[in-house]
Amino acid sequence: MVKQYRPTLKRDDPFVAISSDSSLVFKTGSQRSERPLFINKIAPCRNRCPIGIDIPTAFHLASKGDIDGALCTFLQDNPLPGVCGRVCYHPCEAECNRGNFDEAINIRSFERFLSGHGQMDIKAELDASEDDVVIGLDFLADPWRWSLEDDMKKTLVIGGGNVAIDVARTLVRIRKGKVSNITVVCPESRDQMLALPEEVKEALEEGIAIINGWAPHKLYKESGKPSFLDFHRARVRIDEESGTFEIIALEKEIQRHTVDKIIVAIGESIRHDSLPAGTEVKEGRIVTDRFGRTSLPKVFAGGDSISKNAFVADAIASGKKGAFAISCLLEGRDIEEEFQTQQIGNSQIFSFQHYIESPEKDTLDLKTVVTFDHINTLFFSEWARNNPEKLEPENRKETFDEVVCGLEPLGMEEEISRCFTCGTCIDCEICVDFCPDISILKDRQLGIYSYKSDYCKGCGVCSVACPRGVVEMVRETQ
Amino acid sequence: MRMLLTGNHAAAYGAQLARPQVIAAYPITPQSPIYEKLSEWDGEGILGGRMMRVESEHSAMAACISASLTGIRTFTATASQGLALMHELLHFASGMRVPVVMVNVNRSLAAPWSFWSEQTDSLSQRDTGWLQFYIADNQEALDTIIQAFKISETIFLPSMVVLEAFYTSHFMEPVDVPDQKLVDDFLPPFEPAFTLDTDNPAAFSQTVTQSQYAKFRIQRHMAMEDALEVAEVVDKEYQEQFGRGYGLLDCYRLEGAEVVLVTAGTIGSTARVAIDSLREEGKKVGMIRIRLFRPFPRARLIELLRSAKKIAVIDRNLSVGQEGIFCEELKSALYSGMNRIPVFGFVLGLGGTNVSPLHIKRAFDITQRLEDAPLQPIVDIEEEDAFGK
Repeated sequence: MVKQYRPTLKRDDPFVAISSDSSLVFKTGSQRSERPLFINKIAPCRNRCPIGIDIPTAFHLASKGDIDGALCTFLQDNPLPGVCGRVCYHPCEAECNRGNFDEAINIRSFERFLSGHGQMDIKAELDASEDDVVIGLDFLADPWRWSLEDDMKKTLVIGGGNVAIDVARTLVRIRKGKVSNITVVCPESRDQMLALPEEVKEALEEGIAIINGWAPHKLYKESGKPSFLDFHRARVRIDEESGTFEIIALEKEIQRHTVDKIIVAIGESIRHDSLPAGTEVKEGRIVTDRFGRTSLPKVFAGGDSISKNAFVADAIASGKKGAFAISCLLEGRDIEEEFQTQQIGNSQIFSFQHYIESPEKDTLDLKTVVTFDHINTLFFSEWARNNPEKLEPENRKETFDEVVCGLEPLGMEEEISRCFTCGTCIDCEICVDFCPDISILKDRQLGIYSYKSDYCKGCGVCSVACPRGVVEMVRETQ
Repeated sequence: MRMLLTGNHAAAYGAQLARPQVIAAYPITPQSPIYEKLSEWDGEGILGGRMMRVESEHSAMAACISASLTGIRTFTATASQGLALMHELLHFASGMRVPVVMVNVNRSLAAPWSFWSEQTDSLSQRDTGWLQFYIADNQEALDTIIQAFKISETIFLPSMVVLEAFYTSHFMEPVDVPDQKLVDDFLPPFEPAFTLDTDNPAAFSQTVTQSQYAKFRIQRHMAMEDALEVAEVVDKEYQEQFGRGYGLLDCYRLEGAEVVLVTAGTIGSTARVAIDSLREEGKKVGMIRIRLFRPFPRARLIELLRSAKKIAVIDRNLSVGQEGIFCEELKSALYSGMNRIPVFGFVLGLGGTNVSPLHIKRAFDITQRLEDAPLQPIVDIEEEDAFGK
């Protein structure tokens, strides 16, 4: 018989590799040269929002059905979401990462949706006056006061900004859609007009004549009333850096318009008599630093009074900065230093949400903006943006109903689910699912993620898998 | 029972007599008749085990390894490209110490495409930890398969029994097919040392530490060394039971031989005719046919070649850039034995070309005539002067 050859067959020392324990004995963590960092970052929309609203968190809350929570997130930084949801120039959408994928999220409609579906009413009050030259903002404050309902009155609106367009479109509405005697004249070319292109387009759709490249020259009156107004050819030079605006007159060419009423909408300036003595003013604006501090101690300024770049969102932003500066002043803190810690992303904005809540530094990286290449688009499918309905020009000219409607509920729901929530962890747990070492830990109560140091080998799969750029790999230091 | 069988069918009988419970295989020329015969018996319900028709040789070996781990006997057969595809799993089989027995029918490897005999396919698997038997005729094929199961199941390493394309695979010879009862007496049911156990789950061949890996490698090597003794004992037992034994080295007319021919496989049969003829002419020549290539019977070879003056190795294989592989292995063994006899390496019969008694006699003439062996293998003996420098 063959001698039985049985080399070491004891269970504790077999001649075949058979596990006697779990694979936990292999501390794969020793292979690690990088470790994952689970940290929220700034979405590009928030980085660009003058008010620094935490847009991705609001979208995330809304996606879970918490509309109140989403509204609260907006209200933390913006007291006027209803207004901004209608008039803001929404630079956030231009930066939206989703724009590199299919189309940007309709953030403006979302803001308007959060503020409620109510339509704004503009109440009519009749109070006639006979002024011939009316200031645009005065007209808009009470359009019925100026006896301009008669569409036979030739009315010239002077100016190329949003106020001029608003005046002309309001005039159309109080004249029940009759546009024949409404003309907007401004020295800027069509491209140079400060009015938002969308507004200009809608005014033209409504039949309003806009004449570009002419500046008022001379007003002729007959028996105390305006009879005609001469315009001269003009050209506008805008200095991109300083933002200064220079009208170059080309007086050889004159154009004469018969006129009954003139509405001037060429920007406003400060009433010097309303300012405390000694307030420094330059080119019609109060001089301040970036925190709204004027030349006088404990006097702050904001909004249109300090800047020609005066959209609502910018005005809110300057108000918030002033409040921030006042808060620092009263609490005896260094404004510059405090702003360094509060500043969001790479822009000059800050957020009250962050200022008040002061989250732990290791859960939010306030300075890093999530770019498109940090988004794992494999987790998203292409889905067209939902745009709101608009009233047709014929249907809107006689009414003050909103031209742009709110999004339908289904469309709004889709927009909410389209948001990448860049840089904001939404507990999708994709990192947990993909970790090949089952080494990502989640504290369910605190919603905080960490890794098992003994087993995470630093492969970086979690970071690549994360759909929204929250997980990043950092070098292990000695 | 005496039957007229091809080498392939003799192998199929050998496999069936060993009662493997799982046969997983994939057909390939020139091995297909083994697969077909076993399938035929499976269809008739007389195979005894289960035939798994898998989608590739890689899967065939994976199936054999897994089945073997459940504690049963397994068999497969392949050739050439199929063996090359199996390569990764060959390491697994020996590393997991499963006693799978496989027939490989030597066939030249592509490219270019070819179907005839050459040993380079199985010799390329030299370092996978498998025992390798090179057989010379159909009877030896049947007998060696039965022996291989017993050896493998004793030392827990897999075995490869190597036939040659068409020379053995398709050539018919009278073969004695032993009684099942005798085979059962010789080869008891497989007793596994360890098995997959659902009540006591464990991972097999999982990741190990560096030092654990080194330990398992050395253990495998030691088992292979032990296989020399086990194979010798099994062959003797087989001879007692069935009247046929082969030895690890098949020696022919070595008494007083000054020139010894060393070869393997079917050339060993042809060489007997050439040697008989040379002996008649008064030449002192004999032959060793290496039957067991892994483990390599070094000590026995050194012993047998101690009194030889010159050695001529005829290889039907070539390690490109070196020489014939049996020649290389033999030289290595002799060097270890402090024996510096001139070894003439002949690489003949590549791609299944014929190696006749005349070729072998010519190889003998060259070996006798030259004082020392050339550095490179002699590849052409048709023209008397056309051999390596």
